Amino acid sequence: MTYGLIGVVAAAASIICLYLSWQKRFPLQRWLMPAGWLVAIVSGLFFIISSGAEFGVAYVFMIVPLMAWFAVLYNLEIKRKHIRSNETVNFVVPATRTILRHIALFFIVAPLAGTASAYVSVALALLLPWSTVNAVVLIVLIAPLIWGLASWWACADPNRYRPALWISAAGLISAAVVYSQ
Amino acid sequence: MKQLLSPALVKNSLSSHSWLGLLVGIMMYLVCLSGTLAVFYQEFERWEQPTVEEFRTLPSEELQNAYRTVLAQSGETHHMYVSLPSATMPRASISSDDGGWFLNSDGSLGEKVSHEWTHLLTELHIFLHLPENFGVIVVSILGAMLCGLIISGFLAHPRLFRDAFTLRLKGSKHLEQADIHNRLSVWGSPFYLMIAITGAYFGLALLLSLVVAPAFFDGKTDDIIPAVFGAEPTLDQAPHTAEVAKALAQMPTIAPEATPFYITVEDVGSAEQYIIVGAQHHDRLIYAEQYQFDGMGNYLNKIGFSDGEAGRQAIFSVYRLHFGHYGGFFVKVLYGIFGLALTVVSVSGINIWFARRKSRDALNNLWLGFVWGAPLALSATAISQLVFHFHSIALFWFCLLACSSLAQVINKELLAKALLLKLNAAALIGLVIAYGVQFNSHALQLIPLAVNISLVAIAIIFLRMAPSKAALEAARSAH
Repeated sequence: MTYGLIGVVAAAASIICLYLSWQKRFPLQRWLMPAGWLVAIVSGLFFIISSGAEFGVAYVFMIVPLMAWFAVLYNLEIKRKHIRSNETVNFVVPATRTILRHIALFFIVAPLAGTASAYVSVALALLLPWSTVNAVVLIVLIAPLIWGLASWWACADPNRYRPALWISAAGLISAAVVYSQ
Repeated sequence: MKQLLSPALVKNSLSSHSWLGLLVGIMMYLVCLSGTLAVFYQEFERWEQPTVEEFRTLPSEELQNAYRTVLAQSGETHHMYVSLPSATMPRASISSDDGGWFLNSDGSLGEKVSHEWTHLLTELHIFLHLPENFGVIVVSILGAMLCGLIISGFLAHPRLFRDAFTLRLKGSKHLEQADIHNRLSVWGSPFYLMIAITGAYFGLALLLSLVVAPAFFDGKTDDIIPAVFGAEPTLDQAPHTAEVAKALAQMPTIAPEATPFYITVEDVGSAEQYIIVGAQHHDRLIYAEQYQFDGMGNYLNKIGFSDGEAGRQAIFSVYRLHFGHYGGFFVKVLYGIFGLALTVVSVSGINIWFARRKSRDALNNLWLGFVWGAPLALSATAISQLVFHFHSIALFWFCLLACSSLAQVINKELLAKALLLKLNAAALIGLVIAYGVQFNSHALQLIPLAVNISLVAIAIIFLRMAPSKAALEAARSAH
């Protein structure tokens, strides 16, 4: 309990350091940002001592952000009320070409990237010298990350064909690895 | 950060972030809102049936007698489930495939287990009221897309540290929504990433099994579950009633550090019948360690979720990590706060897109009605359940549709928002009054009282959020 409380205090101290560094008013502000992150790590250590590694890590990733939100609220700036109403227009259905482009992008982001990420995750796990159980669980945990990464790329690349081709290629190579087992 | 990211990467990542956000924002909002409330599903279940007797211990003999009674009342059943009283849920129940009953402290059967509104809420979170197998996959895909949104969000945000503590409200709508969106999302991102990955697991595991099977199990998908979650014991016994009380009585010797909180009986009445006692290890994230017994209550082994392979421990930690059921009630409160923050992030993301447009159309109205209609639809279904004992998923969606239509008919953002917020507040107050009338003194027990006070507090917040008459007048004159 005591260590938990020290962890909370350390989390608050870490955000105070980061906040002062962000304000750039403190003479030692150069050291404040690294000190802030260091104290955040220390707060995590106190949570781990207090509640064990599993709970401790979970707590530090919630308590430090919570303290940061308090600092954000402390820094709240209420602007002068300013009302600007946009002109109301009738809803216009987008052009067919635009809709088709979005549908194509959807197919790259959802079925293509999803299938490819499944095969890539399994192929990556096959490369590791892990037991079957550990490998299967790793696959389940990294697949959404790989899928998310592929989705970001598919939408971010101005050249629509490039990610589609590379994602397909990665999926096919990985599928070959999987089915060659 | 700014030096690390090229302007082109930032611009493209922002466009990627917008596209992904618009693709999943509406569903994400419902999943996050219902998920935030579902963190407290145990409290809602107790609130929904406040007359059920609560106690912390159940003598073995009474448990065995109750098991026999429920088994005799049930038709053909393959599973029996016993929920043991615990600190977080001081109620006992026994269920077969046909349904379940709460137990009184003397072991006699009490009310039927029936918390339909809580089910409506959790089913909205788990599969969006779609056909279950399909809906679970859709919601899991939202988890993967949330990973994409977190990655693209960071890459689209070069002023990460410069804006770390900036929150400017009531200025331009775009600036206000962007500040809310960025401050809540950047600081909360470790939590959201954990929610995304653990949330994606529930449905994606089904799809991934199709690829995992040929790689690791010679194409046999049926072999995955036993390998990861432990195999069933091979038994051949004479038919008999499972000795659940005998199995439970051995737990203090087998695992003195663990607290049993459920018992399942598999392959009921067959030669392969066996008993699983699930016990919570209080300093661990694992949902439970499972101790297996034969039908006669003789101890066989444990699965190894508490001390087996790292993967097995990790996979059984997903549930508590996702729903915040560890470390006590304050963790639930933290999950409630972070869940609400992610809900606001979902809404503000779409609001930013609306604010960037130079004009407004029907989409603005429909979205406004949808956002404020969702909590109203939940309140309406709760009232319908309490007062008329009528539960309906259709009612929930009808309310959502009605609120969106209402906002479109009004076609004035502030007026529609004010009306919907006041309707929300009225529905919540109505719900609390209906609850008091329905359950009289039971409404004053700790959990029902706490839930009702929270509902009143939310109603007051809704009223405070409703645009004032002066704001409505100002908006009218601005037109």
